[in-house]
Amino acid sequence: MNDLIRAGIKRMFRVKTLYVCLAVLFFIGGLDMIKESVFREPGRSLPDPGGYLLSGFLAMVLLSAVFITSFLGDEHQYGTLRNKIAAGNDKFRVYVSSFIVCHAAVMIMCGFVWLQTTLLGTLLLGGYTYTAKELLLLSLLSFSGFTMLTALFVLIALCVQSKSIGSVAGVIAAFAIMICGVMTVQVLSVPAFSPDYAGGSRRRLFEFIRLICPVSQMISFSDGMGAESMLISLAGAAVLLASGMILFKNRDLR
Amino acid sequence: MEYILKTDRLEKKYKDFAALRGLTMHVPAGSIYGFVGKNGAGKTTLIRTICGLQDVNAGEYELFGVKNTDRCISRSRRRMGAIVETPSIYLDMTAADNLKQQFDLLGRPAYDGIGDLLNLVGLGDTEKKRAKHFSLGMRQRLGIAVALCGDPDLLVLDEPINGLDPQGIIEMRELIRKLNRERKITVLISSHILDELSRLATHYGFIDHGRIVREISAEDLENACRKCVRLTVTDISALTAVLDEMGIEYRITGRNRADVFAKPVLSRITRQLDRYGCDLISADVRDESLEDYYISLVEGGSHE
Repeated sequence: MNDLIRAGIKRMFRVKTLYVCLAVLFFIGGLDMIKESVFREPGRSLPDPGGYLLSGFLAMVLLSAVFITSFLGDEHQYGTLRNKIAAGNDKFRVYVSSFIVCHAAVMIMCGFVWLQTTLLGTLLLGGYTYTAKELLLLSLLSFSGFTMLTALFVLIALCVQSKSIGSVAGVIAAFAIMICGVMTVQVLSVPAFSPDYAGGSRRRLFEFIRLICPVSQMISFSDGMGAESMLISLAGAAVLLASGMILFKNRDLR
Repeated sequence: MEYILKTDRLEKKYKDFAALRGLTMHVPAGSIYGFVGKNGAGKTTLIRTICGLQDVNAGEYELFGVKNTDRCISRSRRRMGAIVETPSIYLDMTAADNLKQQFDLLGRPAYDGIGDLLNLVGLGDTEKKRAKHFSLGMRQRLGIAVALCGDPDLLVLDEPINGLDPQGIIEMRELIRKLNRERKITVLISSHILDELSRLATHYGFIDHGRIVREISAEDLENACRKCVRLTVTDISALTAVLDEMGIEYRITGRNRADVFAKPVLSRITRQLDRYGCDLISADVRDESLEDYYISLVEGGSHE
């Protein structure tokens, strides 16, 4: 398994997709922060870098889907998964090592967003107004949330043996998760006196979605449900990982 | 005889289609085993199965003496290199990077030998050219180099000459011969291009509708396909006595039939047969090619 992981990590750094994803994250976060600090209107207060952190994570949902389905889709397309099996690795090892490599790539993106936002945010925008506890919670939630998302995208990428279909399915899933997460937080933030207020079973449904959806967890991270959300995400990752392994093991590879 | 690969009544179904129907075959160590069959006969299904890409529904196989039901089967696959349908290479990498990737995968600590491998398959001068810019023949050769990274004892090649130009076919043939001769690698090569296989194989397995219809060594096949005269007589014992007396090589192929491997003077044979009261009914010249042999196997049932 170590050989598979080592080979996967080396390939991860050899492919362009990771660097393209990091460049996109820079354009979304870093460049915007530079623009904001240079062209700000006089008298207008600077935004909190925490907002850039969240927008970076939102972009990462899509980018991690793109990276994983492309990275593992290539293995299907080039037939190189066969080399791994023929080199004496069973499907279980191939699946787990693919998950670990993809998780490492997503964590690199996550680290990049953190580093970029913290450095540029401190230098250009004056630093976070979030407390240290809030930042720690957000980092833990991003770790658990992206672990679950990685498990989902790896499942799609390895069990759908066509790179193009897998990529489209991954991107659709990423958009669905993003829309669902943002919409849920919006619905739940409507004040009780508003006619659009969601009450009763509808509210309970949205609260449940907020609890399990990594995007809504990250957006509403300061609502005091951090530990519960993290555990749910990690449990979800474990379920997705196990389901993916069973599906992959019982599938005939092309 | 020592066998590197043995299969026993393998069965594989894809929904309603049975791709393997009790396939039994034996690949001797050190051989170049030509796996012959038309498209859809089950060649690739068998190769996928022994490579561990899919499981069978029934039957079993042994690879290097390890059964497929044994937990160690994955480890025994380390002694095998394979190209299944298309070469398994990263098209966005150079030839050397592809080999480095495979070395990493196999846990080989250093990249020693990559240059030698590239030279062996004739890709020593590709430098920074990415595999996506390679010709089909170059990709096939790179695929073989990747398969050779683990110093395999068995090389499985699924239709390696498909789509190659004449020069590419010659190079591929020479490479396979070299690997078999110099590195003592057993080669299982599937193809439906019989003429090409006949220049390479030391053993054959003819597959049709998911079953091996005949396994035969190249020597036996050559004998079976030798030019001969088929004599049909009224009394086979009389014919054998006459042919023995005349010192002519022959093979009895039926109750009143024999193939004679010489240019017999029929009038002399007829005169001799008269002494035994035996009549010569017919004499047909037979010149069978590998293609004829294959067709008679898959279309005419058993070959006599």
